Amino acid sequence: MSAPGTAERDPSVAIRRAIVMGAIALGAFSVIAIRLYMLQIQEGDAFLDKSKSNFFQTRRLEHERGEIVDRHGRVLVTNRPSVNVYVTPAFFPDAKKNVLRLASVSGLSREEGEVISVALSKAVKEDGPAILVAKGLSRRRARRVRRVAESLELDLDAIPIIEVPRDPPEFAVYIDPDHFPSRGLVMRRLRDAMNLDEDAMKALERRIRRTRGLDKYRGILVRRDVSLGVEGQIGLLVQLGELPGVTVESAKARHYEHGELAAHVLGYVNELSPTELEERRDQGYRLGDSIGRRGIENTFEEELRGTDGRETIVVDSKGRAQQSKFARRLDEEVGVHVEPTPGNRVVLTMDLGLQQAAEDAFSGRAGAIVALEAQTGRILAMTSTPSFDPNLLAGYFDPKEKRRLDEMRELRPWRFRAIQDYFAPGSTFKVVTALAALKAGVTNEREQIRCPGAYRLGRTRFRCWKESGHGMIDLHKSFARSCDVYYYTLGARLGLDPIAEMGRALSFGEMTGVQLAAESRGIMPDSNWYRKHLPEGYTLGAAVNASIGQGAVSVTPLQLAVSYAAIANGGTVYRPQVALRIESYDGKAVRPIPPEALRQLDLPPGALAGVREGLRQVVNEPFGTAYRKRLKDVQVSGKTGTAQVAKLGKVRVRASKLPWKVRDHAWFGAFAPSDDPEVVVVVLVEHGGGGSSAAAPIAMRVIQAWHDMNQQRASLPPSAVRVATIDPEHPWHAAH
Amino acid sequence: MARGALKQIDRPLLLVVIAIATLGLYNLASASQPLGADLHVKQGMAMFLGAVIVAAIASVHYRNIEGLAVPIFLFVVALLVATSMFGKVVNGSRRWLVLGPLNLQTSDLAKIAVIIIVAKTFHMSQWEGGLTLQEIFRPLNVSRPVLVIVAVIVLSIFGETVKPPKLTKQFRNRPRTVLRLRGDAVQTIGRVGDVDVKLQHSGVARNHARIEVNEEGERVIVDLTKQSGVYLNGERIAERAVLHDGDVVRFGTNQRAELTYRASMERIRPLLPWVAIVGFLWLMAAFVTLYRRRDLSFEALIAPIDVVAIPCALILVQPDLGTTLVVLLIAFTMILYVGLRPSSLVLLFSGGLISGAAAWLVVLKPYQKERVLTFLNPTSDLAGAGYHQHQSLIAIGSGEVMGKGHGQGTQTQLSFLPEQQTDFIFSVWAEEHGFLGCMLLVGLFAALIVLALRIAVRARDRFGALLAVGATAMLFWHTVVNMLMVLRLAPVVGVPLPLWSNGGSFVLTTMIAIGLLLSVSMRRHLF
Repeated sequence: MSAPGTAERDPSVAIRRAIVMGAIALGAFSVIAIRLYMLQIQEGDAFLDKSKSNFFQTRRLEHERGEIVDRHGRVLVTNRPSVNVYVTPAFFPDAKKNVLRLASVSGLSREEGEVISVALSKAVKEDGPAILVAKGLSRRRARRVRRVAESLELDLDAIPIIEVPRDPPEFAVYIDPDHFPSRGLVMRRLRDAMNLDEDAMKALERRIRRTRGLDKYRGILVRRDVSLGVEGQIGLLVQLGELPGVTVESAKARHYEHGELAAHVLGYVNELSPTELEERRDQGYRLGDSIGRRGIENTFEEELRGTDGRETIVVDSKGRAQQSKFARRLDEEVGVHVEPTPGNRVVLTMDLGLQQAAEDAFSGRAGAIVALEAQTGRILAMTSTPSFDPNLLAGYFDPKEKRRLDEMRELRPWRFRAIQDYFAPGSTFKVVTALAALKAGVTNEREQIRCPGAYRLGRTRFRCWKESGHGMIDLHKSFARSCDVYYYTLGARLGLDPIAEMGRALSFGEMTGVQLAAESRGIMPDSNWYRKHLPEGYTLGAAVNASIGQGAVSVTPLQLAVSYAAIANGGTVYRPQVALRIESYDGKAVRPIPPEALRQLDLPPGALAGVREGLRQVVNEPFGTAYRKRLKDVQVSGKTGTAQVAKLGKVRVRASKLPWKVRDHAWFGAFAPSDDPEVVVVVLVEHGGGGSSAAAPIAMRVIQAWHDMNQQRASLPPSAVRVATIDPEHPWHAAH
Repeated sequence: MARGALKQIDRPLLLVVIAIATLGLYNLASASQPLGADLHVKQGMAMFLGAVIVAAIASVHYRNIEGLAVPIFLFVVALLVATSMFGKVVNGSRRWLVLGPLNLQTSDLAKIAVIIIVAKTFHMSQWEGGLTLQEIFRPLNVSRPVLVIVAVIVLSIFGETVKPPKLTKQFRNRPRTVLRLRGDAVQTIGRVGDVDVKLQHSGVARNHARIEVNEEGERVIVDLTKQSGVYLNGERIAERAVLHDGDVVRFGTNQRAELTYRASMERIRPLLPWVAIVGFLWLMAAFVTLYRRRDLSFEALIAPIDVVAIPCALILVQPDLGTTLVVLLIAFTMILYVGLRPSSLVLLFSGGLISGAAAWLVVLKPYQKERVLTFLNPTSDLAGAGYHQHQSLIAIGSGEVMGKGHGQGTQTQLSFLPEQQTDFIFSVWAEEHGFLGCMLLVGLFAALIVLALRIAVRARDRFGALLAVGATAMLFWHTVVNMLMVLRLAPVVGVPLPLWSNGGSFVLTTMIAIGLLLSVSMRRHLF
């Protein structure tokens, strides 16, 4: 067994070894097969996803924000194309390099070249004359300079070469700072074309200076949403190559069709701040996105905001977009192309015509008008004066507009007076006292109370506005003549708490729940309120004061409108409503927002009728305070109010002689037609003086406009009126 | 050639080879599409030439090869030496010998030479109970010290083809070298001015840090700032710290101002004199022994292990870890077939394991390990290799059951798959033909190996059997190592897939091995 070569005679050993080896080999292949099974079958889907994310790059397709339209579909807010201007520092012309090259060709040293380069940047800044580079050059050298200039793509204007008639002729090379491409020149042209002021230029220069490394290749925003004129000018210059480094990019800007009209109701949009962005990132907001601020834009942000689309492009391992047949087919088969969905359209209860009429009707420096439907609480028009132009807040804030608004700072144009500010309601509040008294049974429609011109409570004398007194006054006349003593008496009989309870039922002292942010509660004090807020606590004097809407009682114009609507419609307090319905961007799906009755007033029979009769007499009886402001076409009921701002002195002073700030607030609360009220209008003229002289005419003009519009609409064929069609197949309806 | 021999040709093997080669060309056609070159045409031509070689070799009786074994071996060794001296440097290693129009990867030929010479060395020997380590290694043989001295000389002349250490920065998720660290020069890092690396990020000081070399030859980073500081792997250093491979150095608190330190094997030379002295003394001792025995034949000069060790050493210094590994595996498989005494086998394994583990765990410091790995495998630095295998797994996995279809693989056609025409060719197939296609291919390769082993078993004599085992081992190890590498079950070592990977040299080598197999099979006599 020990001799060499015996293995051949003992094949079993060799066969055994071969079998072991074969088994090991098959084992190795099994390992490979199992691994393939794990990768391709068990984890195949995950790897398929990974391979897709390898070659698909996803691009975001921006959505358009939803429109805001009035109740008849007339556009109030939409989007329009806009243009943003950027500069990219890396693409500015490198003047120094070109100057040095030209200098060296002209036979100058590097140092001399640098001196010229410095002189050039100075000349560009100061609008200086052409700079001499070199003179006394031979024809051959001058030609070379020109050739180099051409290779650097410099215009002949940029480097004039002048022949000096000598023998042999000599040449001089100049640099014209007005044509030689340099960063300074680009910036100067940009400034001229865009009318940038000194500050803007400095800020821009600073931002350009600060860029480092790859950031130099990123565009810096010079101005968002430039005007059409600027766009044309810049666009032309960019096309001509006069502005290397400047780019013009188109975008979408929010457009408020009617400028200042209903600005407070509509609100405005602007860019998210970095911290907001962090909070809202999971809601899909991205850098540079806008978000609604104030008004409808804010309340209905989620509706108005659409969803972004996505688009995939096929790239190779180096991230280059692929156009090959293979790539195109891949894109067709598995690419994702989701069109962006524009935001929903918000249809307002507002009526553009009436809003316009209300804004036009308002006279006075500051104030508010609220007009709403008596039977639903839907707001037809709502103004706040002075106003602002939201167009200027979405994009570039024009310094001129900023100055204008700053000058008005005293009048606080940003305040939404109709819901955000509260004022003493004055005599318009008497309806509350009257209803409270009727409900408590401390008086009735027939009772007559004598007005001697003042009311005595202990040692305090509460004056009626009419010093001579009204004589015997019943409920109806108390409204028509606006007798204060009548209400002082009721207030003293009631105490404060029943008045406060009635006030709260009519929506005072609480938010009305309108679909707008920043609403105020106003103040509806009761006895506890006085105990809490005043050192002397609650006295009956407070009730007497509150009975005519003075003292601590403060209401927003909207609250007053809601309460007058309740009186007009038979006692239902509605939540005031601005948005009528939400429609999908194409109008195919509609989600109505029904009116919401908050509560029904609990009153004895006839109480409301009595108050309404009183309000009718205010306008329609010769002794009524607003009789002279009555309308021919429509019977209006209402109540004037003149709310004191400053405590009256002994001597009465003419309003026009008082400083504006301490003049009375003028109120008028009205509804029409008197017998079947449809519309409620409340007017507040801040420091406007008397209610009948300052506020009532405005309200009458609004009601007249409302009446005219109704007449006009009634005469139109039905097809002219837009009616929302409901598509029952739409997912919105299926889900509800 | 006798007609009888032709009749005995192994038809199943031939069919399997033709099937694999055909699928290989078909697959290469898809893989070469994104490269814009018709690699499969060239490869087909190489295969045609290979078929001629197969026929030529098969027609020669393998007994004649035995006589040529020593000349072939010496010729290949000469080629390997020439390669390490004049070879073309590609990706930091010398593997290609340019002979006029012919680019020859000499280590491919070495595989064949080793198969033949090992077969010759071992076929005559028969030891009771198998070979012993003593017989294979012959520790006192004169060739041991010679090898050491040759290695020292080669290393001292050509050994420093490795790259110097460097600092890299991530750009778009890929490392880019920003500074190569040279010699003992002090190099500085800062934001502006006269520094070697400018990091233009906020929070980086003008003159932020410097890198110097300490007495032990290690790179040291020195913080030059008062406040902003230097952070090593996230922790602030106290003035200075030694850098190790893979360390992330941040300058200040800005996340973007980060550099990664990459070490490399640059300090081999100081060790070399000592190795040379030991080798010289050893050589003297061996000569004295030989002189006493008065025996100076080839067999006496060259110990059995040398026929493997010499080419392996020459391939390792190119450096080409993958091929070295394959040559060792081929030789080891053949020796196992000859038979190794169980005690020797145990000794070999346990000794190798223990010394390897000891070296790795106790003696070598982490950065030294990195240096060893970087040295042995410079073509694919570790981050790069990880990326390659990651993309390979995505390609394979995303093939799922049926595959994406020929020419439809996104990883392949959009160039996400690296080296898709060579090392990662299998991933192309896996992506485009799925699990079923892979099973077909793995089955074909398994059939090839089994059929080849059958030839060894049926061989007429031991030399033929050993030739067949060697050729089988070569095919097997190439296939398995390549697939394991592609499947991330083994590191990336650059071993091509037989009959599939693009490359004329390797096609010819594979064909020679198949020729040897056929030659053996045609002259068998059944026992």
